[in-house]
Amino acid sequence: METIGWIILCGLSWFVIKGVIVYIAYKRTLSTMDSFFVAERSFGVIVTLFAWMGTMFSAYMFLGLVGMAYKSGLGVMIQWYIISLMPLSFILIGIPAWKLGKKYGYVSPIDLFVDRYESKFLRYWLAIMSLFVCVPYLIMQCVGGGWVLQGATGGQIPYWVGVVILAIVMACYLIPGGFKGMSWVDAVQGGLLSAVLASATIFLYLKAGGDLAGVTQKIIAAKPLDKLLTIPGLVPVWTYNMFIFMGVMGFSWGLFPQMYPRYYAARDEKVIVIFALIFGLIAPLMFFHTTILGQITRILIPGLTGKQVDSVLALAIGKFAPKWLTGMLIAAVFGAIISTSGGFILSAAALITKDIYKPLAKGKSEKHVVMVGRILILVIILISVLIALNPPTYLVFLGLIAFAVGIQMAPLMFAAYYWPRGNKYGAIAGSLVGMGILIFHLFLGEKYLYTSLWGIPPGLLAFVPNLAIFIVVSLLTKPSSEETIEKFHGLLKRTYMPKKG
Amino acid sequence: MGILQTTKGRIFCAIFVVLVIFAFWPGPLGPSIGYNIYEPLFFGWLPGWLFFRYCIYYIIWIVTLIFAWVVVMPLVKHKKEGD
Repeated sequence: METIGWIILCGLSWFVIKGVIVYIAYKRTLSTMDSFFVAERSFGVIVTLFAWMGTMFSAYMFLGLVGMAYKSGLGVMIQWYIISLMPLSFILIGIPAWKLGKKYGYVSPIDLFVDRYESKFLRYWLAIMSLFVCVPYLIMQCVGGGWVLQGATGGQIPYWVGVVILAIVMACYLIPGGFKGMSWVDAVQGGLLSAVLASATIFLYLKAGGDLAGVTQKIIAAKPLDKLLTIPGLVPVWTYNMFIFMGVMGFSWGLFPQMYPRYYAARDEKVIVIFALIFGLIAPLMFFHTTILGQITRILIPGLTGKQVDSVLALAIGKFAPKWLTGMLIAAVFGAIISTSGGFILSAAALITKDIYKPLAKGKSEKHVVMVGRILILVIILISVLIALNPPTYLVFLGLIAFAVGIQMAPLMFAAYYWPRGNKYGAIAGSLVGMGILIFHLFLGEKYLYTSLWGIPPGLLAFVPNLAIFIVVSLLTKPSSEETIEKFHGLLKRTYMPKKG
Repeated sequence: MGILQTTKGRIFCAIFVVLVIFAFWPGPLGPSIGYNIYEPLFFGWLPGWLFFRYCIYYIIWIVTLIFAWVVVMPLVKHKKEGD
């Protein structure tokens, strides 16, 4: 059987298995927002962990990072800088978010912050910012899906067909199953995905001579490629400033909108703590794996440039791996892409449904609002596909835009749990300035999305004045009402302070 | 939230800050291993700067584990107010 036949066979098998899981989830999902978006707050550690891994290990991980390692070298591993802070971030943010979500029935992050800062304007403003975080990631996944199929089949399946197939599959399993269906599918496929990818890596490793030391020596000999083994790298991306940016982003990650459904869906706080620790233990292995793939493919397929860099893994697999393995791998990577997209689509749909539509449609039933959520999922998928059909140059740029916007929400979100003096004036002023600086950089062009003034990444350049303005304006203006402070900080303090004696 | 208002919580946060700055700062103000240097190569292929950071990553993870065990878990095991 040809490669394309194996891909179709494996893909259809996956589709059927997922379909069965989603059908079971659909039958167990009630027509309430609590059920559709946060699975009745019932998840244990395993489902929470795999659902998050499914969201995180994505087209960015398997295509963007491998491509980046191919282009700039092992410096890509400073992504560890992000992960090393993630468990702490998940614990410090996830526990209060879970508590407040359970107590006051929140299903989207914005609900919580609108109540905390007593501002209706923040509802719409944060919804827009959150979409800036979610949509670039979605586009990235759609682009990745198209490239994977095109690269692995040597162009037999065109890019646009891959994007469209991805969209159809996503719609089929997200619209009926909601968060529960998506998380169950992720839990089932997580282990299988890891096994298939490990097999493919071993195969490519053997194809490159079965000797990493040999691969390294070849890279050293081919100067200036030896810079691939150093930081800041062959393309000098991994600079001092990028390290600092990664650190801020790592700690901010727990505040990103896509994390909140995971917090809210947890059964209790212990689930969040254990999930964070297990994630921290195993995540670097996945990063390690993809970065080494970048080095191996540099030897197997040298000389790629431009958009081809992001599809280097798919090209290598299509060229060197056996056809059955190619079929399994493509189906598995496709599954990972869909999982990641699913997490972001559901977050975006929850944001719009709960934070924008529901307040405008007073008197409508929960069932009606959930139906609107399902329609929105379809609309978001269609918009992402339309943009993905004419993609930007590198996948990583899209990721950087999402990250840069994400950290602009960090000051107001962190203060919501840890700084009672923070108020709506500070939150609005700081985030407006941060976003203004970022939008200015978008107009300056692609070059300035990596580094701006003094070599500082624009996300960090915007974050510093954002934080400063948030603090100063909050201190100079009227604090939030005592009832609100009691509702949030009072509850958290009483719940999580050690009992004396 | 209470976790950061305890002495233990604050001590751990200070340890995290120091560790993270020490471990990952790539230049003269911290460990300069790796800035335009790939030697020594561990196992013939793993640059020294990367090996160093891989070790430090897991040190940070162990500190997080102790923080979770010593500070966080006892707090979340309490009977909650408002439950």
